[in-house]
Amino acid sequence: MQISIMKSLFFIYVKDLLLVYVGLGINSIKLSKMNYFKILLYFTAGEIIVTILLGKYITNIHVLKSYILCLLLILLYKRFANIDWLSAVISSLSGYVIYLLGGFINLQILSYFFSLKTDVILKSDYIYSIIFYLFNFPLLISAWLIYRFNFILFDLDDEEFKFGHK
Amino acid sequence: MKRSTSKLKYVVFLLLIQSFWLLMTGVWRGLDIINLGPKFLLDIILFIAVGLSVFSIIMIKEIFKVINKEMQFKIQKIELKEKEKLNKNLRIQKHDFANHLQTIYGMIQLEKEDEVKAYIQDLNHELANTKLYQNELSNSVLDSILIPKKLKAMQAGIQFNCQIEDEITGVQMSLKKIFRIVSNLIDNAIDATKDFNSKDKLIKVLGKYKGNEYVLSVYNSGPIIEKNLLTEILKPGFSTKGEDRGFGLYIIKSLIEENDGRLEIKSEKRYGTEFICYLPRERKSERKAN
Repeated sequence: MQISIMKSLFFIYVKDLLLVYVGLGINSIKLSKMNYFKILLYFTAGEIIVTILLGKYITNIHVLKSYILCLLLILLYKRFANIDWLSAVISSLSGYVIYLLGGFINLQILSYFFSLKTDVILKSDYIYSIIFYLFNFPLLISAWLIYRFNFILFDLDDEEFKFGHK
Repeated sequence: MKRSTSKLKYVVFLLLIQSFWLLMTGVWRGLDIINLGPKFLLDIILFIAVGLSVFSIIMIKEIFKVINKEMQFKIQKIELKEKEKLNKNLRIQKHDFANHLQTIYGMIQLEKEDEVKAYIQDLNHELANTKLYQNELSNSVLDSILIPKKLKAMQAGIQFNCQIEDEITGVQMSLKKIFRIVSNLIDNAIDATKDFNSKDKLIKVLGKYKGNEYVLSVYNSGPIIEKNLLTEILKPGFSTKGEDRGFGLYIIKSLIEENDGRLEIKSEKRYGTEFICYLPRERKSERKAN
């Protein structure tokens, strides 16, 4: 997979921003802008490196990439968000579950109603960008809910670990 | 608390891992990365599995809302216990003050003016250090007996409501006797309701003036009393609980009738059982004499 500057800026960076903000926000963890920036910087760099490295040696990188990035995100949460390991794992998984939910639903719709194949999606930048934002739609909605209504799913910041709205 | 919190985190972690795996498989399947057999069947299974996984997270969220409510209930129980302690302290203080008054009276009789002054100063200092929170004081004199009874009922899983609209102090009966009546009636209601197989276990205590009578009612949603037993249960020694019992209701009836009051029992199917005491208001001449 080739990574252009445009792709990394408009797709990877936006996706990572949403992933980090939603992953932490839905678990009631809010950080300073600097810490968000640090996590994003390392995570985006990590994603680009992983994509390039895996692309060199493995034909199909999607399988391994998600796991490695999920682990990387756990490490970054632990380092910059100052939370315990379990909370870091839950935050990382929460973000990924919401992201993959969008991917799963959209892929089902695309393959059944539009009969789109993966190679077609990857070849066309136009289709790729539309599908990219469709994939991220649940993340986008969740980010808006967290920002606007302070929506939380699990309150990891609280000692009693409460659920629901704050 | 921290241990249960940690357990909750593990449950959420497991559910998220499950959802993560299923979604990954679903996405890979959609991208034709893996081939796991008949496409249509697998897609249906994956769709159901993902749906169930997401719903299980929502369910867990709802379950823990209930757990939070239970926690609040426990806190309220502790608060009740604290109020009970406060009531005890108030009673002790009341007793102490009677002693203090007697001491002061004695000193005045012996014309020991300086000692009285010093004694009152000491008392004043003691009072200033006594913390008495306004919101912890009872609104009715009956609260001092209703609060422990409420705790007892709640421990037996019974909902306990009290509605004391008027203060009971103006009736033609001593507080000691009134407390005895209320205590016996509520204890009977708890005994009858706690073992009764019913979804809504409820005890209600109402108190208000109706004309020249104070109506004190204790209702329970327990088993009904057969009509032929309504007069029998008020006789001494009648009990379904065994020997040497069955004097509670007889004492209640005697105490009420001694003070020109009356006791009525209403027991009907789909309603429950209600003991209604009609206590006459204290006559003005008697009040003045007191």
